[in-house]
Amino acid sequence: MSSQASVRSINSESVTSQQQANVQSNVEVSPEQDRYASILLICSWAGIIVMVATFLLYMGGFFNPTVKPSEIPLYWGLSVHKYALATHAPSGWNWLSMINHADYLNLIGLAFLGSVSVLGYISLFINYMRKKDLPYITMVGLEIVVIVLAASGIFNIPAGG
Amino acid sequence: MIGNFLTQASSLFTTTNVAVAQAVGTPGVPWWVWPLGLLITTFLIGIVAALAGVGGSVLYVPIVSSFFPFHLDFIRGSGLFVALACSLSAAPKLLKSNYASLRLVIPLALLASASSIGGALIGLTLPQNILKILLGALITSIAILFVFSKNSEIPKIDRPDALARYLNIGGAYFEASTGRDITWTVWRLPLALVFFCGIGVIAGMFGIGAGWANVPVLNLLMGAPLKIAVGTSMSLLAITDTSAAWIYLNQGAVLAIVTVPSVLGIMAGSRIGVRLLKTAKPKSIRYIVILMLLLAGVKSLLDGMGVKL
Repeated sequence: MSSQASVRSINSESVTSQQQANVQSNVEVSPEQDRYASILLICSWAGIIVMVATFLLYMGGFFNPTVKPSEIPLYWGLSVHKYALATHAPSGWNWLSMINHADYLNLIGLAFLGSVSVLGYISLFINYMRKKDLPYITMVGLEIVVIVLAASGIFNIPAGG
Repeated sequence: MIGNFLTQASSLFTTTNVAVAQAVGTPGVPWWVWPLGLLITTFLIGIVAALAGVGGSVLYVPIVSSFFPFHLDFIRGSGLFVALACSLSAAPKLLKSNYASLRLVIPLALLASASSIGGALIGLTLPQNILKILLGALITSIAILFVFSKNSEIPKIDRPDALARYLNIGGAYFEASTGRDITWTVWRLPLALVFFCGIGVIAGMFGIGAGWANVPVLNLLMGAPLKIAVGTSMSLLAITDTSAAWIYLNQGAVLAIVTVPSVLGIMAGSRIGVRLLKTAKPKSIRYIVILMLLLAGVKSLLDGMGVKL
């Protein structure tokens, strides 16, 4: 079921008489774990770069923000529900239709960071399918459903409610 | 040298927060003071958190909510992105070095991330004063937990439970300090799953990463070696916090002007902190963190009860 090193019943340290290279080969990372880590690494840096670039555009006053950085202090002490009412902020995914404004363009990088784990999990799902590892296919599939449901906006709390 | 650096960092931290606290009551303060103050504060939090081996958001949420004028909704939304970004930047190296196990992460993350959605919804519904009281109580309890908890480097465990055996959870890593190959597995997985449901609710509700709870459960309850517990906890956060972060993002509780400087400050600070780790004294830094948590916890409690100092 797993390509990882075999499991012993009790945690233990074992002294090896071989060279370090041989020791490391005993603790080889499974291919699916290695691929998942690579996806996290590349995608998280991409998300951070987009986040910084769009934030600089916002702070520079480009792309006509709906709430300018200089006006934000009027609103940031309000609860999220009052903030939405005061600034006519969209809820759920409606911000996507406003990405021509710098303050909503900023959310692209953050939303991408929130999607990185799903991308990694899709790769895991494919790997476990190939291995026919049913318990992990089920758990990885359910996790994708959980994150997609959270991202879908169906759990939105209406402003004032 | 390290002592001087920490003294200067601590004095800069105090100066920044005093300036920020004074500015809260001064309407004429330029708007850019806040994101700049936030960047400096989170940079210092990142250094201290890395040196003490705790997640940045456990310090971020109580400290920023105590000294900055932002509503707790936006601070919690940012806190989740801070934890998420830190986890995403640390997890790849840990996973590639086998200091984290995906076979252990996946079952725990499923329950923690599902329950973090419930926590986020509760957090966004409760009034700020109630949340501040609960946050104060939680942060004070975490400080006390840090005083009394004693992690075990390589816990001795009995036979793994049936579920852990069925899922084939376990692995091996190379311990460079001893030149030994450490083989590990876990037990008490069903009980740990219950704990992770609770951890998910707390993470979503307060916007904190919950590494402070993950590590003791993985290490002391499940018997994972400390390095595996820390690595697995860090990898878990990338998934647990994602679900809750989406709830806050969809609700509009993520303001770029609060979130972006915080993420950048903590990430930069934690990189410096990791470099300083070679020469720092972890025990004294741990005491500083405990003190900071106690102060922030008590301040949050008093704020929630409407007591002004």
